[in-house]
Amino acid sequence: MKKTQNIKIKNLIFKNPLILASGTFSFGDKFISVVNQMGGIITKGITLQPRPGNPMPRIWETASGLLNSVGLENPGIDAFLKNILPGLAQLKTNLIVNISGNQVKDFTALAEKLSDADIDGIEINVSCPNIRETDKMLGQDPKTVFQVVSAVRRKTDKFLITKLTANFIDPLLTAQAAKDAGSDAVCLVNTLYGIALDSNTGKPMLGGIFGGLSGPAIKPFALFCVWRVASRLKIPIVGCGGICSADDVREFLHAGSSLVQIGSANLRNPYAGLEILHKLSDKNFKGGVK
Amino acid sequence: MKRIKAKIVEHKKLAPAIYSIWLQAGVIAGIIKPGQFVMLTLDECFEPFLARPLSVADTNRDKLRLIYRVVGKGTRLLQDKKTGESLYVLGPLGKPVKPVKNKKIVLCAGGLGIAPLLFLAKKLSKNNKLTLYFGARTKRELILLDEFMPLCEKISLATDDGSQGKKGLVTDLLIKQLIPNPQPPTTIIFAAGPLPMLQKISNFQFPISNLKLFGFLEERMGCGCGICFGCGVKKKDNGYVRTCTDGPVFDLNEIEL
Ligand SMILES: Cc1cc2nc3c(=O)[nH]c(=O)nc-3n(C[C@H](O)[C@H](O)[C@H](O)COP(=O)(O)OP(=O)(O)OC[C@H]3O[C@@H](n4cnc5c(N)ncnc54)[C@H](O)[C@@H]3O)c2cc1C
Ligand SMILES: Cc1cc2nc3c(=O)[nH]c(=O)nc-3n(C[C@H](O)[C@H](O)[C@H](O)COP(=O)(O)O)c2cc1C
Repeated sequence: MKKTQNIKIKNLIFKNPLILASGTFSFGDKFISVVNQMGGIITKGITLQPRPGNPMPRIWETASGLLNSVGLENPGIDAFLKNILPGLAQLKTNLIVNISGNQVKDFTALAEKLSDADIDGIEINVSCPNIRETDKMLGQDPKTVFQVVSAVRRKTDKFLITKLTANFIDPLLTAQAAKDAGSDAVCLVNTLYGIALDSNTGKPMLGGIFGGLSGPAIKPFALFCVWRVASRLKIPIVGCGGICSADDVREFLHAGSSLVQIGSANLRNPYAGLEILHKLSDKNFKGGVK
Repeated sequence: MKRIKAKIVEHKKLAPAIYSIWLQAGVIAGIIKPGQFVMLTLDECFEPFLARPLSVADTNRDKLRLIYRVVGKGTRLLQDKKTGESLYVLGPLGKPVKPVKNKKIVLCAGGLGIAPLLFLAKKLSKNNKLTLYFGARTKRELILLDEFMPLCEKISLATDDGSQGKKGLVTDLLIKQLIPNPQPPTTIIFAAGPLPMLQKISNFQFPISNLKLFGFLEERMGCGCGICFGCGVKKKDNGYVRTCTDGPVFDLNEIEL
């Protein structure tokens, strides 16, 4: 394999453009040999309080993808810092912690707790379809996105990615808000809302009733979002949605992503990231922000 | 854990819509233990998108045997695979059953639950006394009996239609037969089959002191290897454990079904 080119955004260097997406690779504590060869790993979403997660089933396969309503099962920030993070100290890649909450002050508290942690960055998740305490996603309102990102920015100078949604909101508006609030990059996109019903009974197939759609099914839409924001706003973009092959990666880089995230493909094959990396080579993509 | 391309060395029908498949699965076959499973992906095409979990029914050096029922997209595609063709195998996955000695082992299988119990029976029969309770829809689905015969002291059968063995549920058979003759010190029941069967066994108060009860769970899975948090099982105290990495075999006293 040829060596891939480094990509530098702000003060952070990624040895290749591939990042393992939040919620699809545990906390970075499994398949370490895969994690270490990636440009980065984003942890499962962490919240202020522990969350048990949603009832089963949490995963429902759909045409070319899946719905999930895992419901942000996680031990909470304190247990993460105490029990999980120390085990990740040896990782040879960028470790980015994905944080989630219901309101601005949750993010303030999370950022404060992470500001001294041995991590390379924070991904602010304002786009989780499985937070049910509020009717709307925080990421559906540019003003709220601005408030959340500003709150985190005030607490830390760590590398910040804001992970956006395109569910009933133009991500261009929220990307602008994230940029104005000091986010170093935006991730486009998180899962799309979806529901699956039993055709006989009408009963929802997911324990959490609705969930987030991911996988190849959403790739064209995710690519459109990247293209739309990249062509109108100057901010580094982390493309995400249905990436399963080196060609998919190239498409996202062409559309204007600097980095990409691999999500559902890991569920199908936990070595997907490595296999994609082996198929990418220097001449096929340009690193750096376009 | 490994993901390998495995060649099919034998693929045959055991009963209508039920197949046995032997794979050349190198290292995985060599180290996999009873209770564990593998995830199968059929080719490079992304449909169906997720891999499919199947229990290990047997091994022979570098060969791995799986037994499955055709129920949907994935298993229908698997059914069409021919000897000499390949598929991808991720494994070993899940926690092995802890080996035991000098115990009274009761295996209770419903339908395809018989598959993982065959591998377990082969491992446990050397040092324990085994009894098998096996229920299926009909006589033709009472598969693998000739392979269990040399491993078990006693085999009790039930079918839904009464075409062989007792007509009715295997759980009723088990409950009836285990009550009148309480077994010596430790009896361990290993149950594998549909959820209602496991629930019935789990909820029944067996009048036997020193009874251990283990169930093979088949919760819907995303990754099968602990990275997606998709296959939780509720613990009796609180929170969830994962079927794929904490199971799929659980002490039924510790989880809620
Ligand atoms: C740890 C584990 C071990 C297993 N071992 C075996 C085995 O040895 N032999 C065997 O035949 N099967 C086994 N299964 C079940 C097997 O994985 C499913 O039958 C298979 O995934 C179905 O795939 P499909 O694409 O054919 O069906 P799909 O098209 O995905 O589904 C067809 C139908 O089956 C139902 N279904 C699918 N998966 C499950 C599930 N996990 N739980 C409940 N209902 C489901 C669906 O609701 C649908 O009605 C095991 C499952 C697990 C989790
Ligand atoms: C099972 C599962 C769990 C996820 N959990 C999270 C999460 O905790 N936080 C988050 O920001 N995104 C989460 N996501 C979204 C993914 O990170 C990714 O943005 C999305 O799945 C689209 O990419 P993909 O099509 O490559 O999967 C999850 C996705 C899946 C499939």
